[in-house]
Amino acid sequence: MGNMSETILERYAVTKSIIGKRGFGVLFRTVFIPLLFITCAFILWYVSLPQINPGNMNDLGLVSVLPATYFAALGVLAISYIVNIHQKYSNDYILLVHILLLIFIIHGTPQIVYGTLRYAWAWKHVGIVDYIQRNGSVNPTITDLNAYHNWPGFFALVAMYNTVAGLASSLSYAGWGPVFFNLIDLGALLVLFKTLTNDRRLVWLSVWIFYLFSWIGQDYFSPQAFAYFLYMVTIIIVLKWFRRQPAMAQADTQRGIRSSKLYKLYSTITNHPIPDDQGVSQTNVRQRLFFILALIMIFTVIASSHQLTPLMLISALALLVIFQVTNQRFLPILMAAITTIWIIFMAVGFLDGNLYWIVKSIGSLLDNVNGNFINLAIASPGQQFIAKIDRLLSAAIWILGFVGLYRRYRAGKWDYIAILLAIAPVPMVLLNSYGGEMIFRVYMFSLPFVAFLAGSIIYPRLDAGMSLKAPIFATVLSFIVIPGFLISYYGKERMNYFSPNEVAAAQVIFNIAPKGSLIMDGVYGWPRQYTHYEDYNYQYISLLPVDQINNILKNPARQLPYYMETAAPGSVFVTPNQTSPETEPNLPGVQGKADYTAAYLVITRSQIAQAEMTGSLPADWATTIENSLSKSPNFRVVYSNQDAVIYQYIDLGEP
Amino acid sequence: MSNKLAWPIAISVAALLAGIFALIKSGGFLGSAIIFLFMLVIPGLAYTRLVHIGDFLLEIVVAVGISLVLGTILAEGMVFLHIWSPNAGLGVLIGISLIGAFLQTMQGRSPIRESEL
Repeated sequence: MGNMSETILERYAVTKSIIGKRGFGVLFRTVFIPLLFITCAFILWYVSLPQINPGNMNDLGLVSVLPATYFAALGVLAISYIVNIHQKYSNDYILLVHILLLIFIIHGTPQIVYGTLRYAWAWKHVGIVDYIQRNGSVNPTITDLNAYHNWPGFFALVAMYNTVAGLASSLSYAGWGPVFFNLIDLGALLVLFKTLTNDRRLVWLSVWIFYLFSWIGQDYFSPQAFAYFLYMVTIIIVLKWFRRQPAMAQADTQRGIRSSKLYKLYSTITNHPIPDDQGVSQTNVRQRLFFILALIMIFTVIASSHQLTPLMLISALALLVIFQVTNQRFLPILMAAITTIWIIFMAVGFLDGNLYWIVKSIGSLLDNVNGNFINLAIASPGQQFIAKIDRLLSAAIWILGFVGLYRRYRAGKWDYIAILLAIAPVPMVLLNSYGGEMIFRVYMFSLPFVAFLAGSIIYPRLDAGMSLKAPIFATVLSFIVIPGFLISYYGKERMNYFSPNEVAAAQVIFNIAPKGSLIMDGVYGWPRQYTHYEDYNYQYISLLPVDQINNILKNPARQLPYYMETAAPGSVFVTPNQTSPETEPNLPGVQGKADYTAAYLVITRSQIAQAEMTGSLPADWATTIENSLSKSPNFRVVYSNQDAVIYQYIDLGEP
Repeated sequence: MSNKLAWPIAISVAALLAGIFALIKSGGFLGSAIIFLFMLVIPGLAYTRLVHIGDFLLEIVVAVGISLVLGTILAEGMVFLHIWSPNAGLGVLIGISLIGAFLQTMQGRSPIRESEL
């Protein structure tokens, strides 16, 4: 406590003397000019918003409709931010305002411009909250969206909030999820980087790099975004209050076996002072007890909210223990125990239907890696280009990270904590492909630490980066990365965006369809399952084998009734002759004639966009189906607008 | 007003406001925002202040983490025990916050000793 007061007093004295000597000049450079730039960037962004028409997006997504003023806003912000980092007496609050504006420009723009919730999975998440809000419970054995009922932490919390706040649904605010999660992540990132270095320039530059490379898009209204924040809080607590003092680490290592080469490598890594070691707090018994209790609660919530984050955390904690960053050996064991208990006792409903493919994919490195990438052979040209930019950005940050690490090492700073946390998620690729997303999740969990290492290129030590070269390099890098980031992050917006017309169609179908109806679509990308989702059966044509899709498209009016009558309730498209577990992981065993109360086919603009972008259905699928159904007495249009059409199937016996 | 009482009072006022808006259910945007901010920060902040973290940003980040965790444990507990009662859940969060605020006032009378460090 005494030290803290002294530090504050010293800082106050230094600031007073600077202001006294330099007076208005310092204030002008560090506050007024940056504020002018920030205001300029804000105005440029603000005037951009009315010019953006999401309905005109092409295959490159939102970037294709952004006006020049939008890019100018980011350019002005980048220059101002980097110059301010480089300033000797820059103001932390001013830097913070830059980042806040960056978050709103990048993540707030879609919500402001669209006015509707973007991303199909966000609608499903709203649907799970809606389920809990109405039922006050979960159904772990439910067939559809089963995983969410087995890891319901995030959804239960939101359902509780909705009810006490008098909100009928999360739809009114879920679109702001990316802004919210990036804001709370910002706090965590600042603290995290402060534990790794005492160079504030490096802290702020690492934050900037993080946001410019965070193109994965897992920051929406989702349990993974929620658990990601808690992951960072856990790492902060461990590094801040449970970090082993370097001297203790050395003493412990000396007790180990000295003969093996492995030991020499190990001691090289661990017997090294932690660079810029400002982060280790002296703790008292009360603090340690408090934070152990906090960690137990955080572990429990992470284990019960998301499937993947606990594994990432176990890996990170294990590495921190093995390499003596912390001496709390029980931490990874405790996290593993809580996770195991949750899976065995609480998530058994999920394991029943999914264990076979989880076990099958363990260790299948090549299959898991390949399963993560989109099939470029069938994707649209725009998506092929975007996929290449994605890969380029991912490779670039890792290369920058390696170069930064080398620069720090040459400067006498061995950042093994950042390295351990950057590589901790990598072994997860061995486990499974996680529905084709594992490699992206690995990237996401590594990113803060790789961004920190990348920032070290410019500021490897406190007395480095003083010349003009540093801000020039950082600005040039930002100007190269920003367009790439925007292409990657906004690249799928044509299918992520749902126009008010599409939302209106979704509202209609859930108003008119009686309980027990079948709701069929081409692909899943439309605002479905957001309300009373358990009352309906959902199927999408693109999940069928190619020969069956082709068969349907030869004569949709004749073929579709067969699928609308025989699919299994609650499953994903099951026919009497098609029961392959690869395509029906949740196959409930119900086959044959289905007794739906009604059957509908929904076709929307976003579905057409998704099918075209991913190549999951032939180019003319929607037109073919619409032309055929419009002539059939078995189908009638119950609703249509510019962006959506709903057909109802009328069973007339033989079609 | 003593500085030592400022935080306990702020926490108590935030907790009571959240409770009032939850009861009237017609607070509109303001009510939803106050309940949201309460659930996001206050229960955790009521306790992080007890352990003298020092750095305000660090304290807020940890407070948000703990608040979210407390809310989630309560909500999940109600879901799995089939005792779904969000208002009671909020009541528990308010109670937790008020107890924390009270403990802060108690601690204010016997500040943490240097020897404890």
